[in-house]
Amino acid sequence: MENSNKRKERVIPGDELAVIEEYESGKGTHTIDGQIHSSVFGKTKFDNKNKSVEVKGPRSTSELPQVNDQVEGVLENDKTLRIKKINGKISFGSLVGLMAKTKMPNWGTNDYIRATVVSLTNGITHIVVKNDNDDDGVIRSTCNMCADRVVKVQKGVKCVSCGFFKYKKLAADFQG
Amino acid sequence: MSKNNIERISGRAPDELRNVSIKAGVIKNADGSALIEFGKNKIMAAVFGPKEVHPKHMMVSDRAIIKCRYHMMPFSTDTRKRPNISRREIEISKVIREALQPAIIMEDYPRTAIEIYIEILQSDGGSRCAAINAASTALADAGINMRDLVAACAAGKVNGQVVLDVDDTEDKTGEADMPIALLPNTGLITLFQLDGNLSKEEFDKALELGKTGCDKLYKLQRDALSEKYFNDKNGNKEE
Repeated sequence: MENSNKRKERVIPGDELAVIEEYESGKGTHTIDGQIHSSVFGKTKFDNKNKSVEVKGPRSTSELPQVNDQVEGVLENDKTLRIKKINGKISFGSLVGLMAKTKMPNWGTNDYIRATVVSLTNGITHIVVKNDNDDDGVIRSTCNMCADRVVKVQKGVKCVSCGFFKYKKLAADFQG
Repeated sequence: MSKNNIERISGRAPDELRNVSIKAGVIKNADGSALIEFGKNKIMAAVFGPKEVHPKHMMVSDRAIIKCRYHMMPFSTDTRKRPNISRREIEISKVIREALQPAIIMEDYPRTAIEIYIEILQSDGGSRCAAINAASTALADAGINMRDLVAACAAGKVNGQVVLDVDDTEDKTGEADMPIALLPNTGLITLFQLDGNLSKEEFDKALELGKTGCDKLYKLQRDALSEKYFNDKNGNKEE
């Protein structure tokens, strides 16, 4: 990738970048009447090899979860996940996902978990902790009884203070 | 136009704006924010989103919805203003929302809401235009996909003369007030109001003055964003 000297490096929304005969419109850009314009403020990236142009901003709130995306967040209650990251990227929007119903919930309120988006039906982000995916599961947790620190034991977590054990599906990178 | 042929209370030339300063990213907890000082106006705008829609029935499946709240602080006017939302504030909230909507690429955020909160800390006439400038900068600061920034400025008629940027005193004593907002790159007008009477010539002159004012404000918006993110007041000037 390389920037042409003639082109603007720093742009804000509405700035003209190129024409569609020259480049393809990439992330952070939009097209009006054959002209590619910037949609966000940031720095331009002209890819002369693939003939595409994109704008990379210091912030991007544009990412919304899609099906099969991995999301991370805090469980506000048994069903609602406040999404903090989408595919490892910080999400600035206050988005929530709905945890799919299971016979035995293997997570608890205030757990920081990673889960997979399974559907976007009726505008609701349905997410599920997949048992067959090592990445999915609880990343950080506290004791559900005394809120103290927990440690990983077989198939769950145990409180270091009161000894309360709870079965939880832990992510491979569980941090306690 | 020279400064000699006019009698404006503030001593400004007919085509002169008040002192304007815009600062982006002033509120840590908001996704995007801006503070504008437009003469004696002090206005803060904060943007949250895209976030989930409440109540759910307001959700639109193929685009975002914009929620806008324009609110004046009790201490923002010369006499205490009751803190609850007034009829005027509801109307201005709607007007600002409709002025900003064409600039936002709402199709990029289906099933979400973008919330814009505008607080008038001190008002001195022309607060809706100043609020649009602040809100537009805050939207860009939040990283919301936009077609263009929105710049707004009022023109009017005072003592029989067409002038730019009418302040509170001129608004009360003058013959006409015409706030306009536009997308500077495309020239699309997104807000146009006219309170008072203007002849066709005066109208054309006021519109031209308003557009000139918008161009000046657009440059200040660019500078505010550049200053925050590139630490450079003239960061966007290279061609």
